[in-house]
Amino acid sequence: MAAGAITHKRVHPVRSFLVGDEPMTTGLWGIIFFIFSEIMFFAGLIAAMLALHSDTLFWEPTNGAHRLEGGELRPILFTILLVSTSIPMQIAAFAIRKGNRKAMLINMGIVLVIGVAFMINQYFEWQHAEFGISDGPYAATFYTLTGFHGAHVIGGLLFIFAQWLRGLLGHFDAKRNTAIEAATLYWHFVGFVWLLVIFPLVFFLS
Amino acid sequence: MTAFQRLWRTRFGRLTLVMGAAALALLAFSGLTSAQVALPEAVSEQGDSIRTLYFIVFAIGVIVFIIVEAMILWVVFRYKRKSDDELPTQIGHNTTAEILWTGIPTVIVVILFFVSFFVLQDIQAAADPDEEVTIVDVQGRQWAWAFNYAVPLGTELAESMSADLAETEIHLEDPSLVVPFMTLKMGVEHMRVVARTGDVVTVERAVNGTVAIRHSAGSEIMRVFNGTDTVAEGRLQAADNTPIVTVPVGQMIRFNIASADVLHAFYTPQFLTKLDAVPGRVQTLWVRITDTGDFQSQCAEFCGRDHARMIYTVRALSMAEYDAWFEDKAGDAPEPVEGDFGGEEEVEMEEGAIGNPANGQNLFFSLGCNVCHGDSGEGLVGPTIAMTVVPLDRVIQQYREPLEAMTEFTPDQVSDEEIADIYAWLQSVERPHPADEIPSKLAELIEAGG
Amino acid sequence: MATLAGAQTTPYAGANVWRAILEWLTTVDHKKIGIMYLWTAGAFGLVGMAFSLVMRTELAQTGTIISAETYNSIFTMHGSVMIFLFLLPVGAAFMNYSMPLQIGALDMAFPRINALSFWIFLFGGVLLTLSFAVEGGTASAGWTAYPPVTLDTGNNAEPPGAGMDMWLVGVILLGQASIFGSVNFLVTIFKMRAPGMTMWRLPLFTWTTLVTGLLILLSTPVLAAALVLGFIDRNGAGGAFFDPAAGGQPLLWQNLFWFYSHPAVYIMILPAMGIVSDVFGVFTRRPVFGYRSMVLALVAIGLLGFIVWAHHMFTTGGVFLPFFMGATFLIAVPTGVKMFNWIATMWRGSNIFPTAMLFSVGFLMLFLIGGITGVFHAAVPVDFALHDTYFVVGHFHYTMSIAATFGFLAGCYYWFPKMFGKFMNEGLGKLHFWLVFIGVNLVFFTQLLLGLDGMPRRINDYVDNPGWELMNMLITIGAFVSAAGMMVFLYNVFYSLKWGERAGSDPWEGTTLEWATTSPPPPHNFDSLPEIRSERPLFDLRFGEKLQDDPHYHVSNGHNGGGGAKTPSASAREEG
Repeated sequence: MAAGAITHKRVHPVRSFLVGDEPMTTGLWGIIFFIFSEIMFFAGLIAAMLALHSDTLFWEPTNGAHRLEGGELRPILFTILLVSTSIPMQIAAFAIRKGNRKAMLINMGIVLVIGVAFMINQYFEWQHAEFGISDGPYAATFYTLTGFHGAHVIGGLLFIFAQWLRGLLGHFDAKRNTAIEAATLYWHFVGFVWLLVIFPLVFFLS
Repeated sequence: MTAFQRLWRTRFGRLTLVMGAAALALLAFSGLTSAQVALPEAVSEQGDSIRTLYFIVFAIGVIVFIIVEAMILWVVFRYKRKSDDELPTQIGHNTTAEILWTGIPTVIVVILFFVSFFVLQDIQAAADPDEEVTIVDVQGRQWAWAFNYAVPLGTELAESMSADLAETEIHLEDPSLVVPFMTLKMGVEHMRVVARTGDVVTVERAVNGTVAIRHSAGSEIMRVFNGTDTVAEGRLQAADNTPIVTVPVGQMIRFNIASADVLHAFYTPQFLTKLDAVPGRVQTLWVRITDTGDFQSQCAEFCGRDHARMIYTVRALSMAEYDAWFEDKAGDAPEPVEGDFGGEEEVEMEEGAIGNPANGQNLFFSLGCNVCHGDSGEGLVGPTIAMTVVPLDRVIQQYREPLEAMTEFTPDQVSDEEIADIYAWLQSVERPHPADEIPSKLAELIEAGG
Repeated sequence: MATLAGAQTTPYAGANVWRAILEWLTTVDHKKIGIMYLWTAGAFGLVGMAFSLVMRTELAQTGTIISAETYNSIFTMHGSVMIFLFLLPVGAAFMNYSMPLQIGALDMAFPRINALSFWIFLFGGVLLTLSFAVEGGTASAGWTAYPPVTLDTGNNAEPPGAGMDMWLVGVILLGQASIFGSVNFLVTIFKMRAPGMTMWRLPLFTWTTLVTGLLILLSTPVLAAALVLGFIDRNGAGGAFFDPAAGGQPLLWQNLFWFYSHPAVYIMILPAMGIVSDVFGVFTRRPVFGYRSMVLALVAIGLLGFIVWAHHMFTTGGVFLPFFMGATFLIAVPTGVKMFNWIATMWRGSNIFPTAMLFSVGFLMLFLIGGITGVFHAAVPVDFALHDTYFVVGHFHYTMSIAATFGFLAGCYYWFPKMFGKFMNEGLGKLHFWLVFIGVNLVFFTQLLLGLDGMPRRINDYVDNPGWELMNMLITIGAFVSAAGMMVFLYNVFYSLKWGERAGSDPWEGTTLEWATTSPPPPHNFDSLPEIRSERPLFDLRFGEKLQDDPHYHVSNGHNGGGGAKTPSASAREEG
């Protein structure tokens, strides 16, 4: 009876989707807890943004510049691009669970290219903005939030790139793929946070 | 064997003796320090309620303390290991006991919550709508207090004001009653008159740096005067001049508490309450004072270097005395002023045409202007005058026939030319708060409109 | 018993001093990291104590000895050092050292990240300390650093200098070290437990580590958000976040700050509670009473800790009072449960009182006063009177400062034999206890009375209130008595390291797994582990047979409470 008890494997659909059916490694536990702390960090920043918006004397840039508008195509396009990279990233994770390293590398490559394109666009977005960081609460939150998000995108890309190189060197297989699963979870987080950051800034808070 | 020794031999006796000694020590300690285990006697109705609540909490606290402390001492003195192989009971839990000592504290705190809640409702209650109240505008700034009072100007707001800071023109039914330097008030908001052109009065919305985020303009226009007395016997050690806020006994007092710079807290121990002065907000504290007297008070929220010196005194007078004081302080209503002022030709202060700033700086300090207006005219008890946009002739007029609480200066004391020197220096000083870009915006407006 | 004696002592460090130093600098061993935390935090604690003595000397009488600027800087650094560099890291020290041993793990889940945490912590601490050397001195706006007085916008008459930025960055680093540490603690507890060590068999100190870890994980990032906003506000944004003149809100900082700093109070006190729970369990020879209700109370304190932050802001006029008042009152319930459980543990116990136990009983007495004075503050109208007076200073020192310190001192006396293989001197320990116990009560009880009399905190002089002089003098005397006690402790540490009586692997008849290995333990912690059938595996081993007939004595038959036997590898994969 005792021996039978541990072979029984309960399947949680969501968990299975995100991290596979293998028992979770310490590394996965670690990245999940770390993502929780990151979520709280952004929750703090976003709460600050909402609080400032709800109760400030002035919100719009004080130098009279226009804030970013929701109607512009480019932010929408890059938002869709960034968020949709969660799909190839997850496909890469699925692939390596089946031991398909080649598919993993291709999909991670797609993520890397789009991610870099997103950051280049962010650079132009900052150049393009007519207001500076000292031009009131909207401007300050804009630079702070997009800046910290950008830093996390860069961090995520570097991590994915390192794993991509390891993949090229022949690391990872169906059993040993914690780093890929971790990178995937982290990338989902980065995309999700972007929605929480960009939508209020551009669409909701006016 | 003495009685003491006999007592000491029993466990209960030991416990009693230890507790008794501790109680005696505590009593002796309180006597020695002349300290009370109670809050000070309240001099306000709200304070009385708080003090009553304090005693309820205190009584419960003392009872809980005695019971639990006795339990601790009991188990410590009673249960000691007698031999190396002694094994005590292994009872690891007792559901009844655990429910009991979860339930009883819960009941106590729920009761305390409701009692506190009702006291809170009581002490925060505003005056009745038809009740006459005294309104005192309290403003903290590093490291002094200003207390302003208001009298109705007898004119109504003709058009509503925009909440937008840039638009600071208001339309009054009878603008002739306003003159430069005058502070106006609508609702809780203060505005300083800086110019008038025709029917349009231009006001600086940020008096002494205060920015009221919530624009709550009423329709009645009040004239504000500074009612801060600055001498109090016996309280001259910590600050050069201790501000005094004068208030009546018996009437509901509404303290509108604001800050010009950083956080402060309005704290009068005998009121048994305090409220923070938060920049950007105007907060209300209702107090009905019951006793006359001078009450020592002090800022209670850390506000920088001289936080400890930010003291003030609450002076509670009888209603009749207060009325007399108020009449005296408020002075007469201003004479209606004919014609326009604040026009373009008066704003122009050409470079070189004005006086000697260095001499002006010397005069500023030798005349003692800095005492009220700060070392660089940034404003303390008096208003901000650095880089003032008020024209020079109006400034000279203010020296000769002061509005509000300013010392009068005769031409013998300071000549028109010397005032021009001071004016020149004030135009040259670094304005201490960039928040006051508003006046420069005003200057633009005046130039554009004039 | 045979399994206990079987372990061999492993040589601790090489003969070569430099090699030993290098070994310590590069170590990833949780025990060495724990000990480094302990030494570093202890040193910072002495610095913080020195600051408090400077403050007490200044306040002993009216009139000033040091300038107001210096006083403000000293009280700011006293709070910052004591909280960020003493209480939090001392907790981390014990969690690092003892928790993996208590669950029978070989090391932490991420040993290298553990070392990284320590070095980030040290760097942050050094950065805070270095701010004494920069122009304008240290931060001087209190450890709470309420803007706008921290900002260099023009509305502030005396804007702070680079020291404020160093404070902000330093605390961000310390927070990052905490977050890495908490991830490590959590994963270690969930993943690295020995076979048979189920969640309901975790020692209470490990449970407090778990709850503390969760609190750190979820609250510290919010502080980090506040700190980066503060830093940006000072370096670019010009007050757009926290200075109303530039569109910001001062209360926003307070909300974010206390969303961390209230849970931080529990981050400091919970490990101390865990230590005294374990100490009571050992020196009474009884199971800690109501083990499960202790755990539930811990969890309740942790949860409530997240919804009471605004009780630090009752007088700001910017919070919804009834909700936070109710939640704050509720905290009294789980803390009360813990108090009664501790007393019930000693009840009918076979109690002995070595120094560790004395400090634990002292903890109960101090925490009792701290808890009751907390109820005064929970009642909002009473808090209106007492907020920002010395009453609140007395209250929080009684709870999170001195009670926590007593818990940690109990931990020092309790685990010193395990860490260094030697007992601390009991005579000196008792002298230490009585000096500190009398000293701190003199200090903080008098502060409660002073607060009732209306003396505000954070003032460097009270020249207008000569009536406060006597009480202030008493507080100063008490502070020096406590400091003398701590000097005795310091001497005791070095005395015992050199001449202390040798301790065996299990000198206290311990109940938890850290006593199942040598003192000090070998780098891999355990050569063998006893069977784990309850939360007191060593007690079962020692007394299990004698207690067979005791109807109240329970151990489960299986290894893991009904799940059947497990191999080590199976349990390593088990999810918590």
